[in-house]
Amino acid sequence: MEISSSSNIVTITGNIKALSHYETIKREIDTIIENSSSVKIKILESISITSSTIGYLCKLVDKGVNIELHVKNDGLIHLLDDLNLISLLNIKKV
Amino acid sequence: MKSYISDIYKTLNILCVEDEKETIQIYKNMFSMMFKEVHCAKNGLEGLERFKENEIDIIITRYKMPKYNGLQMSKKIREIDPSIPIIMVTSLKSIEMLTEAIELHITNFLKRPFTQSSLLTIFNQAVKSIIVDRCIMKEQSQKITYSNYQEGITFAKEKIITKNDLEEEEKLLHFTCNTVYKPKDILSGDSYIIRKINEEEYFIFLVDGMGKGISASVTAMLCSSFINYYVNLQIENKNEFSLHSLLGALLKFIEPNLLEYEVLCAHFLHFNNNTKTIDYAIFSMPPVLYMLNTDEVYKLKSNNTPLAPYTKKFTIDTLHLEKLTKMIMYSDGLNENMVDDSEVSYAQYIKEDFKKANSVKEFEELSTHKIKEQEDDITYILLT
Repeated sequence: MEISSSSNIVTITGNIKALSHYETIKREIDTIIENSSSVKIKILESISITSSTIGYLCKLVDKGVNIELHVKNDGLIHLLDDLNLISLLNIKKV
Repeated sequence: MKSYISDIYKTLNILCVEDEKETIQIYKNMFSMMFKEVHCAKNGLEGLERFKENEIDIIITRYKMPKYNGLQMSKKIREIDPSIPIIMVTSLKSIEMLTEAIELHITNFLKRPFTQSSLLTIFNQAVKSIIVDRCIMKEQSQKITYSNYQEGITFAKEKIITKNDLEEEEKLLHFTCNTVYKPKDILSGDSYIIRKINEEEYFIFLVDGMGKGISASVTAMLCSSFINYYVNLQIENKNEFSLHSLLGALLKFIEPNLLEYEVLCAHFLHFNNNTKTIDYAIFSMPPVLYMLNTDEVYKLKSNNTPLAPYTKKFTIDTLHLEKLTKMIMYSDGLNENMVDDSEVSYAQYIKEDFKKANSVKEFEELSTHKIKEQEDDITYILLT
């Protein structure tokens, strides 16, 4: 998995699978939300997402951070829909 | 210290490899009082055989001997035991021989002719290295024993908490209820409970703690323990079972026990034959699949976001039980495992396999045929 950010947009390529991926995503987003109340996360390739990442994103919403999750893979969209997270995490199909 | 070392000597077996009969006799006289057992060989080949036949702790060998010389024998012995102390007796000190001896980790050299005092000095050094090795091995062995003990007792604990009232009977109303629980580690984030409340009511809980390892397992076990306690209370007091009350109580219980970012995914299903309904609350779990009396497979999707320390509200929906013929609920370890030789997960196949399978055995065969390498904990409960 690789991650990059520009302004308040985080772009993730590769599969989100390992615990270390969650730690990298958290570190990147934590830096952004120090100066911004909103963050747009683009997940361009991943077919899965770890529960730790879901927990972290849910907590951001609870803290009042505006998040948008732009997801490209249909399988991941279906998975997030099955998990009832589309509305909470403001998920959009890319 | 000296007395301690001499006690250690008496626990060790020595192998003496020497082609001169007189020297062998000197070794026997000297070592039989010091060591537990003295084994002798008259050349390198015989020395190797004695080493293989006996439990040898230390070796003294002459370099120059017929058949295998001391180094050739040591090379073979090192293939079997890389650390046994080997003392080489020689009058030669050629560069080639020394180089090879260093590569073979020969413990020390003894120049012929040698005195008893020089021999003891070298032996004492070798025995100290044996003591260190033994201490390390003892410590490792204790760690392994402790770890095995911990794993055993932890798994026994998990088995108590992961309670299944239908383990033997396997009957949930008119269904056969089977569970497959294949954790990757002793401490798994997956846990489940199947409780018979009375003849007409059953409760199923399947939980998947966030992340992996001990934290996820502790949370899953806490939830399971609490739910068991709560259900027991309801049964003992003959209270009417209410999923709403259970969830309310669980939220209050679990809130102070979760980490800031921790979430919990879980199925809660209350089967009630009196009302012919299943009340369910699903918190970000893979969908429950079910079939009515047609060929169609339906999904019971999550009606709640994950359980978190800040969860205040929840939704309970109802499914009618009357036409239900088959149902499966599972943690994400099942559907997220990758299918062999492909780039897709088992999620693509689960619906099809569920439709085909008429028993847990059939479903297990279909799923394990596709998932050869289990990447995550697998737990599922199948009603057929």
